[in-house]
Amino acid sequence: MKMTFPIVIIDDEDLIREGLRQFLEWEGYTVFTANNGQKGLDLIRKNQGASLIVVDLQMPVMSGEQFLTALKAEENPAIKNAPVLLLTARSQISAHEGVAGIVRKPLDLEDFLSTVKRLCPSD
Amino acid sequence: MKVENTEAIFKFLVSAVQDYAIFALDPQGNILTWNIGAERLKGYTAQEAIGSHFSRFYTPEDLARNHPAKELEQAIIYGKYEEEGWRVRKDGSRFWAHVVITALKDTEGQLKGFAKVTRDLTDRIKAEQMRATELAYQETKALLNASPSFFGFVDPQTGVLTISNDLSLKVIGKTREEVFGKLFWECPWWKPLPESAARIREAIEKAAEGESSEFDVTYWSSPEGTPKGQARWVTFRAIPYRDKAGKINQIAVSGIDFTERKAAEEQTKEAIRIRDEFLSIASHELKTPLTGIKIHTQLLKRMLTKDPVKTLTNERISQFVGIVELGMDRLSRLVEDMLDISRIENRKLSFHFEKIDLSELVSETLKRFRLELADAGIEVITDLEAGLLAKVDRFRFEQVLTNLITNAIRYAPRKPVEVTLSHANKRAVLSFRDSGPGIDKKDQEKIFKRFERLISANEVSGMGLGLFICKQIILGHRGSIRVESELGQGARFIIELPLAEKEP
Repeated sequence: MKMTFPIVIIDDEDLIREGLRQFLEWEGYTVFTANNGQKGLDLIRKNQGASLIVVDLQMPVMSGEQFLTALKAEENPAIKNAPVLLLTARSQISAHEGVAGIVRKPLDLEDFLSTVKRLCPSD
Repeated sequence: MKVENTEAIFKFLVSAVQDYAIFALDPQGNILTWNIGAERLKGYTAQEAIGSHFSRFYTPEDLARNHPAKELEQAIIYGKYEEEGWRVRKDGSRFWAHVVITALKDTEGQLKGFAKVTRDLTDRIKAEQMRATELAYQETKALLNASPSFFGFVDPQTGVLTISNDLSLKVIGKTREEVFGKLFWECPWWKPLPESAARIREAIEKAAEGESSEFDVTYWSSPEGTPKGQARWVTFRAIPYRDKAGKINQIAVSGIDFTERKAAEEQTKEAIRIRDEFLSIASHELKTPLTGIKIHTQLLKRMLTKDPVKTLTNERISQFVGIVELGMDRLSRLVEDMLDISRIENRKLSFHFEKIDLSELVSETLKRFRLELADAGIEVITDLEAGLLAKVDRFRFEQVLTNLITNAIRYAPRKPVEVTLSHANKRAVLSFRDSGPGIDKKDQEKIFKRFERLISANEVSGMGLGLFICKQIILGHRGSIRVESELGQGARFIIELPLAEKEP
């Protein structure tokens, strides 16, 4: 049986994180959330993988950049190769290696959904 | 007197005159007679001179323009020709001559020849030139001393400063005697700054070899009455000065102080940098609540159009609308802060004072934040002296309190906050103590400045305007705000306000 990993949303802003979670759950996804990079990483390790990681760049404790570095250092391929969507309010952002896409705040939910569908097609 | 006698006396007189060359020419300009004065002046003996043409005393330039012949022509036409000009001695040296040529004619008007009297005026010219030089020197000195720049001369052989203007001496509080004759790069302008001294030395050595240089360098300024002195910026020039023979006999050194301009430029740069950073932080801050609002309005829209039966519950609608409202409040607070900043900058922050019991205002405001404080796990301990009246702008003062409360929520959650109100020396003293991370001594002034945030943008959100606005508001109340803190020891903000007279 094929194991399905959850989508993990990491953002310190409650309004954004919970809104996105609600939206993706309505779309039939299993969603876990965390409010900083460290908690997000712990969550992904606990689940031994993620089908998609949506991560904010600017967060306390562990920022999005630090999270990406830590993620790539993981051994489990289901963790380190999980597709990552960067969520950011920065207008100028440099390309990040190993990132599947960048979502700019304020985001459009329909656009967001089509990106999510492309990266992890629901079964 | 017999004619023979007078003629003899005259001849004797002419031959004995030493200071004038007096001699006769035939009509073609050939020399007929020669006196001692002529020999002394021109260096030729009578034997050498007599019979030769008088043009031999002229410079090549004069010969080229046929000047000797023209002089004779003029003498024939007007009877006499007079001028001052350069003449050449036998040894090739020149002297400045006063020359009178008189045409000698017989009773019929027939030209018989010329009498020529020449006087050496070189000494007079030299004296005049020296006077002019002295005058030029005095003028130059006055000019240099009136200049806002530093000037001086350095000897190319030794590197020693030989002269400099008053201003350059004034900025180091030294007299001429103290610096003239010293190695230039060891003078007090450069000595305390080894790097500058090395550059100056290099520039002087280059100039001694004929190469000019210009660069910006720091010098040490220590005018009289300033015990410490300070490093300042100067645009320095070293320019070799050559004499007619091409030998470098002076190095002109000059400097223009541009410290103030540099400081202004750096201030402008810093202001632009801060503003750019502010814009980037501000747009980030605005986007965050905007994103929350946008997500939840889109969710509401989706609920209305898709699957309304399952999702569209009253509870959910009011929850989402509440979230949108919260985001709007945050947005308008941010916008208000930015407007306050612009009001402060344009000095348009206005106040509407009323006499208010401070303890009431403080407890009202704290009450309004009861829920947020409880959410953040902050227990508020108060000790407020009742009946302290102050002239306060209610709205603005609440803004200050709100700021302190939200700072505690943001930076010092899950720890108690102590708020006390008392009075001392006719001033109300409001103290707001948290148990957060504390503020380093070196940063305590900074936090009241515009756009300053100690914790990087990655960690805690905010624009860094809050305490700056607070301080401006408190200053507008003729009060003061300060912080007492040490790293790891929490922070205590203390506001003092002048007390108002109690109603009779």
